[in-house]
Amino acid sequence: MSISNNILEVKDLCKTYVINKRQNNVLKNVNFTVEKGEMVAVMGPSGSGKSTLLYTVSGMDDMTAGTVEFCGKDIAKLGENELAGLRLDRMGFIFQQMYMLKNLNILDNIILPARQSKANTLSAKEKSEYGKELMRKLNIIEIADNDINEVSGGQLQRACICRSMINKPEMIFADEPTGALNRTSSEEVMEELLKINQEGTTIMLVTHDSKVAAKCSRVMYIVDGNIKGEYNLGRLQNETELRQRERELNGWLMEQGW
Amino acid sequence: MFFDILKKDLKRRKTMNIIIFLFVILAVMFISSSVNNVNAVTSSLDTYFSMADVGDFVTVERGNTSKSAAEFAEGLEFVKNVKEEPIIFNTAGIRFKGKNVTVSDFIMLCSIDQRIQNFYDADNKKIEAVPEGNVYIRKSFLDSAGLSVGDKITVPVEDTEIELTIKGELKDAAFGAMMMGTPRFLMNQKDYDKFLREKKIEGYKGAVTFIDTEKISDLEQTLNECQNILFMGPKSTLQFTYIMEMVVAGVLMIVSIFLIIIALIVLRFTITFTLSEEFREIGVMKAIGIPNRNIRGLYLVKYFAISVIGAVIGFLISIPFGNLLLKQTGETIILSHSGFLFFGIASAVLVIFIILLFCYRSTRQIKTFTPVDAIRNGTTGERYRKKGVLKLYHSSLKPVPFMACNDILSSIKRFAIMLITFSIGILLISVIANTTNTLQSGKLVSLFAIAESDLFLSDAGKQGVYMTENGRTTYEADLEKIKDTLAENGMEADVFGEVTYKFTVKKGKLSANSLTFQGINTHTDMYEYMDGSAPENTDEIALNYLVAEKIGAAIGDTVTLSTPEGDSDFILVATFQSMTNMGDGIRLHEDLRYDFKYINGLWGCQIKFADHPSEAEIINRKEKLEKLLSDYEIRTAGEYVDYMVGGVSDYIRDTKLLVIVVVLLINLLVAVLMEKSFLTKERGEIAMLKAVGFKNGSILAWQMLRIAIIMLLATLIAVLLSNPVSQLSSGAVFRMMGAYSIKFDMSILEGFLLYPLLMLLATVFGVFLTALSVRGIRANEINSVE
Repeated sequence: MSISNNILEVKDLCKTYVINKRQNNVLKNVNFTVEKGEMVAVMGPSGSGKSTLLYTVSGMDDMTAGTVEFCGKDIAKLGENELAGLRLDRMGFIFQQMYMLKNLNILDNIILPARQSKANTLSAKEKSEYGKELMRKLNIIEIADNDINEVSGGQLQRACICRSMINKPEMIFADEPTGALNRTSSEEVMEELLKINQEGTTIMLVTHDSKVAAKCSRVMYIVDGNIKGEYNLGRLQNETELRQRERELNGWLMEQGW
Repeated sequence: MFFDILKKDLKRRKTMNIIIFLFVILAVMFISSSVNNVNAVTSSLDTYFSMADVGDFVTVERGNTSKSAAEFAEGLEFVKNVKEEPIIFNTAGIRFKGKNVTVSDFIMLCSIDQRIQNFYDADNKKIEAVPEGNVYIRKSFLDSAGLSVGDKITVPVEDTEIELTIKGELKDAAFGAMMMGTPRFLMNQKDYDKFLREKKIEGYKGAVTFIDTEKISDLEQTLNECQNILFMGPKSTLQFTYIMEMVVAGVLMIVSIFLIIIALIVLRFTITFTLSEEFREIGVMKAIGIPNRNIRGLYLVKYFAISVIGAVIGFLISIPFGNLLLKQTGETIILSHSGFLFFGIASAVLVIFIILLFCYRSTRQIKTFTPVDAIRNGTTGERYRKKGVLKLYHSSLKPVPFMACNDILSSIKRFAIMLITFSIGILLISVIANTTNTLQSGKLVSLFAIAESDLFLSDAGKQGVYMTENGRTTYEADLEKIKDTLAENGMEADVFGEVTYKFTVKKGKLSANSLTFQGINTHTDMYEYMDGSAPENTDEIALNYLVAEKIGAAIGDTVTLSTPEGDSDFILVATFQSMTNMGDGIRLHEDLRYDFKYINGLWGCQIKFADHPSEAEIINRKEKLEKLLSDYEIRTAGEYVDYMVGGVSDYIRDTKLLVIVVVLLINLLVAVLMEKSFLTKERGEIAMLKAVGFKNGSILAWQMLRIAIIMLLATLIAVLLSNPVSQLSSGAVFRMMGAYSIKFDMSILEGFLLYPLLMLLATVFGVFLTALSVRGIRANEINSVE
């Protein structure tokens, strides 16, 4: 008997939008798996279906056909509330738009999912402490009491990472997490995601940036709703090999038509 | 682009535009109909009184203790004309199919041939003759007694009884208002003469006198000497008795003002919201060189169109609606329709003008938008204002109630419209509920200068028996008999009564002819006083504060009381308030003995149970007594007060229902409008909450809870303001009727629990239906939200 090490298994995934009676097949029979502890980047040209893929496999959007198994659960068979529960307790999300509740300060925004979760058995105080601990780890503890309009984009995105981590999820889905950040902030955010991944959390992220993707262990290239190819970079051991990985990845991407 | 934006706005803000449109329709409909109504009643009253030829000053007399009012007035140099009409008082009530159906202690029997004013029938035709055996009676009396035109009634005066057929409804300007306790029966001279032939008729004879003069107060001073007078007052006082005909219109006018204020607040919110959403379009328009006034004009055109169309529809509906409201009034007075449309149109135009003026002011904001706003996505750089007030990490609340409370506290301005609307709505209902409850609770009993009692018994038929030389003995014996009957049936009680005389009180040259109260089997300390203490000796007296003011007397002063038995001096020891004759009254010590032949009224008999029974038990005992004392009409304290003020509480109760429906509708519209705007503004936040795992149910609960909290806050505000607002509004009406201060019977259960709960349920349900659209917001929208 073999125990699967896959956290995510996607089989024949299709997603079709119908706009004004016109069908738009965004994802066409997509197949892939993500192993526990992996950090996978999804790349591709604009409109290729990267974000749709991320939202569909994370249960944020419906699929038209196929199966998606997250931790062995077929998410197509889950109801809306069960999916919400899955997102709350077992998944984490980071978006390009660093969206937070305007009327809550940074720490409150971070601990909000923890306070909502019934699966998270920590006390309210312990949840706050854990939120602060995450903020300390990501070097943003000084903004805990700030309003969201009082901090920089980089700080806000790191706060979003903390929020995605608050319920200790098994997998984080990130849609262009560095897309709205400058180079320095972008590097800082990727540093944190790498650390999280090294601590055991699986990450699947969508990006346009080969520098970001070079830090991942695997890159999937998607074109017109199909995975055209995959490039296995292996786990990043140290910063010195980053340039080499980036060069390799760019070369492969050129071959794919990037 | 101009009209594209307009088209887009009408389409995108469909709900908001429809709600503003509905507000304009409702506001115009209510304001037009209520202004028309008040105008119709007030202007019609003048015309009606002129048509009826009511004199400048009116007196009603009974008996011939002194010279008649006409004799006093004739010869006075400031009196232009005096007209006197003989009448007969019926104090025995009337019978229909053998049963007593009396709803009034006194009835004035009059002959058409001796009229000094014009009377009209239900079709507003002047009554020139009444066939023998027929009688005209005012509609409010017929309704209260359960009589209809064509019914045969028996009218007795002592041993003479005449059967009369109700020929029609009588419109009697002077005594036709439902507040007027003494109705007129207009009959043929031959029938009237039959009563005159009654042996004991002298005690029942009286007169109505019209005196034309411009010097009302001089005349009043002179007539204070006339001891026959039961009632006297200028024409304006008689017109004032029709105030209840305007109650519904008055309440509707307040509702209209409330509606207009809400419409303006909603409008301001909508404009601000629209502009905040359309800063890009405005910026682009400015960038391509379109001047401010043209951009502003674009928005003004929209609101002009909405308000004009709304006002036209509202005005058109106001015509049948106003007619419906006036229907009942039209049965009491003759309505003149002059200026009917003018006032309605003027109100509608005023509403349009106010709305446009307000829009003009609210769109000033357009000036501040620059093309840069469009480019920079509306942000100007830094924002330093602190937003959140509560801290989740310090709070033990669950996220949903926490977010609801924090949203309200962090941006109270956003919720202010709802808070104001809900507060005014609940306040409006609670004021009406307080007024109805106060009228029905019996707490106003003391304002009619009578002692607090559980039950009130009246037998109009016995009035004549008591108002004689031996009346006191008979009356006291009857009170004793009632007491014994009660005791025999296990109901120990004090049984007492109140008689009234019409005496004149003087201090120096100033005098006032006033109802003079004396309790039988009571003590003066059983009555309420404003200042001083109850008269303890027979040479002490208490005066209504208005009477005291009239003669310039203060506590401690000596005043003279003129009675048919001579003048006596009294020490003024207390003042009190009363609504009898709109602020009239002298209180005598119970041990003073005046002959009952001088009394002009006897307020039945009162029962105060010794065991302080509950309200339910009082009603139970009332039903029992109705069988034991079947000759008497028995009322609870609340019923008695209602009877004394002309049965207006039913009228107010109907108005309350109308107001509840309107307030409910307004609350619903405002809540739906606000919720729509919240959903638009919070789309991103909702998507984010879904993305991090919040269920639809939690998000719906968050949306609904905020509105529910606002409703609770509004109820709290209404609770705090209820009494002062009641005092300012309906308290003012009571003050006009002679009361100095009213202690309202606050309707906690009804005003602050039942109706707010009803509103809460309706409003939250409306919000729930609106907020159901959160189900359509997808978690992945987070990246596409601006």
